[in-house]
Amino acid sequence: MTTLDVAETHPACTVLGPGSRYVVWVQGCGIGCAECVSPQWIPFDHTRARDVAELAADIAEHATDGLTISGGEPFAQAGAVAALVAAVRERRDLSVMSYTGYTIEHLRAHGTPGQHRLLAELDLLVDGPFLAHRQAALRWRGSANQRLHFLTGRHAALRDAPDLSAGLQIEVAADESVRWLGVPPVAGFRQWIENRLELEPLEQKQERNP
Amino acid sequence: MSGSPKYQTVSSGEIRRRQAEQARKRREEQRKEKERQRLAAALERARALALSRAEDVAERVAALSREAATAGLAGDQAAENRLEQARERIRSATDRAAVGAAAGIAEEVERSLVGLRQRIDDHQREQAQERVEAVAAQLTEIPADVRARYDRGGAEECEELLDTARRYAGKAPAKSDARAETAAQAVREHLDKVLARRAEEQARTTAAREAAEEVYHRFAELRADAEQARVPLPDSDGINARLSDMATAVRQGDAGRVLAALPELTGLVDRAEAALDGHIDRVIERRELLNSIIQALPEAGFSVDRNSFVQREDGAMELRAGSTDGQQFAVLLRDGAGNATEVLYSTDTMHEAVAAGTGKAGECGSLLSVINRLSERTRSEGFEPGTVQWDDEDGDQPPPAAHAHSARPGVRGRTAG
Repeated sequence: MTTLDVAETHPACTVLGPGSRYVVWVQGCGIGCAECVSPQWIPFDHTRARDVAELAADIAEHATDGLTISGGEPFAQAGAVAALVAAVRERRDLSVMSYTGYTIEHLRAHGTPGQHRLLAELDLLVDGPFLAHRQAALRWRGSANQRLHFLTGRHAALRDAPDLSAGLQIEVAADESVRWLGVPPVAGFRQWIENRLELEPLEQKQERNP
Repeated sequence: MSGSPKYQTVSSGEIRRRQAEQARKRREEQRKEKERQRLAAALERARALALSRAEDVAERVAALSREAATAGLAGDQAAENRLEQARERIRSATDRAAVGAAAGIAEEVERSLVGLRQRIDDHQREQAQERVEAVAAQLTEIPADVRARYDRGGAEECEELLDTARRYAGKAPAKSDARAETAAQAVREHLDKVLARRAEEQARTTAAREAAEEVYHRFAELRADAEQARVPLPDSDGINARLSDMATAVRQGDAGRVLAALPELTGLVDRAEAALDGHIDRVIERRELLNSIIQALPEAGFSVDRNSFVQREDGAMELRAGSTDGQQFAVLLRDGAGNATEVLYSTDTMHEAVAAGTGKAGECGSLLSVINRLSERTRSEGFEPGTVQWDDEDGDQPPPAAHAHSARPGVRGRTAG
């Protein structure tokens, strides 16, 4: 059984790639960009392992237009992610997009077989580490050094689309829990919104009040 | 990198209300604290800005005071004192309004510097103008017409340089001094040239005047000699005219004209002197000859009429004598050929005989005997009478007793000596 350490999923995100997409945030990142907006997903944590086949079935069932892999660092578990994409594609020909803190040149030159397999499955790739000092309002990217690669012709029509932020998707659930999705266009957004709304990560609260 | 965790945010009912109330209070306190901090920071910024501005003004005050001292003027001590007070008030101000009021004093001080700046500029202009006029005053040591006469180009250059220096003195005093120094140098050179040329011309004029005076005195002496000897001075009028011209040139200071005329005039005077000497010699000789004749006439039966003696301007001498039987006898001594003295004798007896057309030889023979007696006497005095020649048509000078006759007997004799 192939497993993948998954931090979070969302079945219908409209701000991380074209259309409405199923998003999988993997757990664990070996790069550790300064001022990462999702530091809670940096540590590797195998307790979050999920069966790739089951997850693929869920994706194939609920995804609308495509699948986006974020995290964490997807290419840190490239073999499992590639297996997930392959399993999904056995059921549906979804558009697949992934983020990575590595550059595509590095992956192609020094990548593992699993990373090469994953690259081969992707339609879109956002590469390069997040650099806080170059943060800008860009389409699906957080900093100006990051690049959007069209690895197939599936989304060729979007090549010349305006390079503007796709915005954030903020959700309040029935249990009054809050979350936001997307790439913040300004620095310090997470700290700002947490202070402003006096938000506290649910996991921390649960740890404090088990 | 592209999403948040889930947050647990709100609770319902009283808990949420209390929490909201506490949050509002917290926010209010935070806002007050931030406001206090903002005001404190704003006060410090305003204080720093005002002090910086006051420091700028202080530097200007100090710079102007130094400039004033250099120009010999007093600085603006009042401005410095006010500025120090302003800075002290800025430092001790407890709010921005107080800082602003104190900063306003610094601004007033800066505006007041305009007056000092004006005084310094005016003083510098005056000093520059005085320096230029001091140079100009050097020129007045010598009248402008004199300077122009001896160095016209230099005079014009000095005026141009002084005009330029004056213009700069009125507008840019700092640049005026260099122009004034240039003008001063030109003035010194100009005055040196004028004085040297004037001295040179004065020396030349003096020399010309002295030479002219010497000629004049020579001529005056010749004229006195001629007058005393009762003979004419040759070319007297021509020399007089030239002397008059030369005197005019001397009065006009025209040394060149004087010196140019001198050689010819000197030559004329030399020739006049030589000719006069010849005249005088002949007059002396004639007097001696006439004296000899006078001595001889009584022996020939004639008494001399001394009142009849006449010496003409041309040096000729006339004398008459009469015999006891009423005959008149006249002698004329005048210039003859070859610088010799010609003696002309005449008698009215001869006239009567000629007029009657009879006995011509007889009367002539009587006159001849008289002439022979006279010749003998003059010969004994050292004269050498020449041959007696008769001249019936002598129209040159009729003897005094024959003035009414067209033809008369005469005799010419030549004397040696």
